[in-house]
Amino acid sequence: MFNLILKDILIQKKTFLFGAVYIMIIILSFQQIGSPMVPASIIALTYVMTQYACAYDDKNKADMLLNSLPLGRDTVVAARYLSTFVFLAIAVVYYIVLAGIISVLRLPVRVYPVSFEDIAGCLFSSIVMTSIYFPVFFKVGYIKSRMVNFVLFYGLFFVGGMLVPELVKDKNSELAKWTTRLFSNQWDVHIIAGAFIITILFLSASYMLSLKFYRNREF
Amino acid sequence: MAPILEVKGLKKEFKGFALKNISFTLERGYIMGFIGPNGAGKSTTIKLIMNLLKRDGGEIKVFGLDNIKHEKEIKNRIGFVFDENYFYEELTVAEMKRVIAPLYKNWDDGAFNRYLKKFSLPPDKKIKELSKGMKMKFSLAVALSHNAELLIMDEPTSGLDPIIRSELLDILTSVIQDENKGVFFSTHITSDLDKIADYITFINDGRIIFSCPKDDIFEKYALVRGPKEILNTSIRQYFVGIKENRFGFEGLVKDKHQLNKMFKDGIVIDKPSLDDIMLYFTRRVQNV
Repeated sequence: MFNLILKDILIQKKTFLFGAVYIMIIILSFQQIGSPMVPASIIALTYVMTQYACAYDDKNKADMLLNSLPLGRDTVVAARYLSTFVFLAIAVVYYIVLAGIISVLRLPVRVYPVSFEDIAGCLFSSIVMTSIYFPVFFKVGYIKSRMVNFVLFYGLFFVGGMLVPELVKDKNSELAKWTTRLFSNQWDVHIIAGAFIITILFLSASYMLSLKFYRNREF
Repeated sequence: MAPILEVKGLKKEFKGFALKNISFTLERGYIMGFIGPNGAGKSTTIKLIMNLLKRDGGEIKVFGLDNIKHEKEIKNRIGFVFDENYFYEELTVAEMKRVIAPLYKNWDDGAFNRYLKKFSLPPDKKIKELSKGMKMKFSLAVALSHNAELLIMDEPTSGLDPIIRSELLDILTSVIQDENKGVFFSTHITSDLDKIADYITFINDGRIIFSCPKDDIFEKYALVRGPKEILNTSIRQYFVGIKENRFGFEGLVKDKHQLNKMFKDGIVIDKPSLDDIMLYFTRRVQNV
């Protein structure tokens, strides 16, 4: 399994080079919005790397190779899910390093530190995104799954783009109050445990579905 | 000891094409050539053996084990060479090896490095920068570096120049010196098999036409030439296929001993090549 994740990293060396550019673009375009630049940068880079990994597999018709190696299809599917978490960790490190460099050099660009809530939020968003996308990817392959992927990514940014300015603009709006209530309770153990269990269940269901689809695929 | 590869009553249906009751057996210590025209079902059969396609019926046993129930164990002991490059083109030879090697229980780094040297494969070169022949050699180096007992090769020689093809055949001959190993090798370049195969399995339109020792084929089949006048309905039925022209005919017969009894003289009997056999079986309807 580790080898497949290593492969996902090795095949996209170029993405790693451009990762810094992607994050820089998001930091600059989120100057007016503020702290949401942290999850936006991390999620965007995680998303890009996940998509590239899937695209490279498709380009190289990797299913033929992977399924002729002594690997179970469960390993191929599990590695794809796990590599998302590795990409997320890489994206966090990238953001921290870039934000650190900007701060140290005192560049006229605002950056925000990464909080535990940011990481939890990114983890949750990435799990939701991949849990919806991967079963489709394993069922129909990369090319045919691009529409779902497009809707997911832009949907996430569209909803984010609509909500965040609302929250920032009018702190007395119903939406802002509701969000404050939600976040003021966020460290309640029950809520965390509940969210954690729901996320894990969602992820597990997605993995089982992906595995079922992939086991039935022919190459 | 169980045969190294055993296929019994294998069935697979697609829209417009079906594999119908495919059966053949390969014992250890032999090279089996799997021949047939394009679209006959060679790659489909190999994909079914590798469980890349799901069979609709029948049995596939590799090393005496069911190919689906014991898939991982079997693939650990198989070296698979594809008809085209399926390695990650963005990776270098060394990086690709780094990803693949730990997946095999018996990976032999020493053997891999020896093959890299032998094939003049530069470890730091990206796979996309290798020529078609070099890609095939890399594929072969991977297949030969984990002590595989069975080599399964899908059209490995197609598109290769005669020098590389000859090198490949030499390697296969040396592999088979170990009598515990076997090679199953699909091709439509039958001249390669004339040189190295012990057994020939011929598939056409999803059916096995024959699967037997190569020597038996040349013992039984014959290419016959003669005047058209001797061809009557009862004679024609002994032929697999006949080509006729203004001067006479040429045809393939399944039993040349029978032919000797029928014609005392007036005909010429030649040893057919595997190409001749494939050609007559494939085109028999048009020509008879």
